[in-house]
Amino acid sequence: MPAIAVSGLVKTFGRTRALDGLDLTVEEGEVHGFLGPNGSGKTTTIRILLGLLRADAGTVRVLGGDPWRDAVALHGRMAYVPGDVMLWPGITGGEVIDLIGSLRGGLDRRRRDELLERFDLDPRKKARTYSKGNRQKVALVAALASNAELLLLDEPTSGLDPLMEAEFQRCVQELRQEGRTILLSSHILAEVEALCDRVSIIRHGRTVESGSLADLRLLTRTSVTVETVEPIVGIETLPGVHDAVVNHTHARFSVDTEHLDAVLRRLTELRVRSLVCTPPTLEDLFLRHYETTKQVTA
Amino acid sequence: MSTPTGTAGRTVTGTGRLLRFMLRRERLALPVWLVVIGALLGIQSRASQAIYDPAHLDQLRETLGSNAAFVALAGPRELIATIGGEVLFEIFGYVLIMVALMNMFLVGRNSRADEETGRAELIRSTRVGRRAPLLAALLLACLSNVAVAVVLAAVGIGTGLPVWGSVVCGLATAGAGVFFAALAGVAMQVFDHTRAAYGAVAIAIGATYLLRAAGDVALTPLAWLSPIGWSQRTLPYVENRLWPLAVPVVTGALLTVAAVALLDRRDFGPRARHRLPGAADAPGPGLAPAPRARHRVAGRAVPGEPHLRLLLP
Repeated sequence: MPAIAVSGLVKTFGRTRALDGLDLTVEEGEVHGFLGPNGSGKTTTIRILLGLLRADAGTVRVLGGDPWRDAVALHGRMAYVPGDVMLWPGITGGEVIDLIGSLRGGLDRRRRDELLERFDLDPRKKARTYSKGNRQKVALVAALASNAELLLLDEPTSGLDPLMEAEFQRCVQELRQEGRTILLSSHILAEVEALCDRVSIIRHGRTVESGSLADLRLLTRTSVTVETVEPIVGIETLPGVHDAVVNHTHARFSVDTEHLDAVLRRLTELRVRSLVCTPPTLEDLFLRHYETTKQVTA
Repeated sequence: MSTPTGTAGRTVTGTGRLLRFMLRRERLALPVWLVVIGALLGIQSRASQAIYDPAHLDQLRETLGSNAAFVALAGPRELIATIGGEVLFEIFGYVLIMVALMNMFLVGRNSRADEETGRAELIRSTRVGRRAPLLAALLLACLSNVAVAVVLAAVGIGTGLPVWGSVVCGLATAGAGVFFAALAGVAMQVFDHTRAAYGAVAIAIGATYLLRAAGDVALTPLAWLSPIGWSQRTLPYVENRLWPLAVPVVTGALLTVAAVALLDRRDFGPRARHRLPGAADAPGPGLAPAPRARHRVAGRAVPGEPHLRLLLP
């Protein structure tokens, strides 16, 4: 049974259709990247998964329950970090962490203190003195110190410095080893690439791509820069080769990943002197969807 | 599968813990309210007892009570029958307005305002029922009203006013507080933003004050339409009747039910109805950036702005 199973999810706010048939499956024990441009519906989806908003249509199951109806029961097994953490000015960070812990029904004291140390957060300071990054850390420590099976992280590292970002990544790796499930909405592609087993990319409230990073790479092109001993001829006519720039024994082109093998065979016949193959980055995948978004909205 | 009744019970999960947290949040503001409200009664009680001779209160009622402007600002002239009544004649309206405002801010700050800033998300992602934040805020207001009643009774007794009258004064004030807390609870569901809700409740408080003024000056029935009027009609230190307080208690309970019903019917966060698109560009040449000004900044020739020039490389 998947930890999150969403299909055909629709949510409208007045005239705006925030979610328009969104599908999302997060298997138990995986770290799932949730990507999409600003305003594509990521936060709305997470709010529905938390039972804060009621879906207009579609089915939503979280940990086998209905997030709207069974919200309180499910929340004992879930933790959440919002992208923009707001706290109460006169309350200290430590108090907030304990409050959230006690409201959820328990907090691992030892782990809480260890995380405070790792994130270099002073829990005795009033929230009004915290920077954005420190407020973010408060919510992160509260979530990571819980025993939640499922963590919903909505751009959790916004405002963190690179050192803390690295610490966050280590924490997520540890949670993964413990078998917890994490839905990670993020704009930091390096973070998603480093942490996620599978990703879903959404746009305009719909899922446009979903799968493992390896699967998604198959859908895109690999960039190849090659130097051979024998002159390169006819490479641009091979199936799957695009944007070829051939200069005698040098060539630069991109190739559909499914045709990579055939192209490499042809190149080795020409006796390869040097070869650089760059797999598509997540950024390429991402931009492919984002750029069409831009054209649509422009 | 949980039954509908099982689910309903879960909508209030966490209310007690939230209430404790709210008390912690208000640990500074709440005592300030109590001190100010208590001081108002204490100062007037001392002053009236020093100035007025109980034997001449009939005369005072004739002069003060026949001055419509004075009665409109203060309270029903029936109060000027005892020294304690005279104290409340002068300040009861203001005490009730302060308690109304206290309740409005307590309920707003601890329910809707959190939702607006996103803090409620953090709370609601835990084992906290949908109705718990609102109910905890209303309970907080009720507890605060009990505290107000205790403070007023203690100040009245402490400054030498009759015991039972002081208790009735406290209860009457708390009664108005309960009504306004529930009213604020409804307003927080109806309006998208806490400020708009505060505005609406403040207007309602003003209107109830005007209604009771009209009632006290001339048309007595109008005062019975005013929550401030209900509390004044207990006539502490004079008649000491508690039955008028049934009105704010019953209407407060009804308003609470209405607030919960409205809460159940709305989405978390601002409602959609008001999300109509606004203007994308500044209207007119006066507000839109002048192309020349933009050019000057880019060219670093900004006269009279040395600090700005320093910031530019």
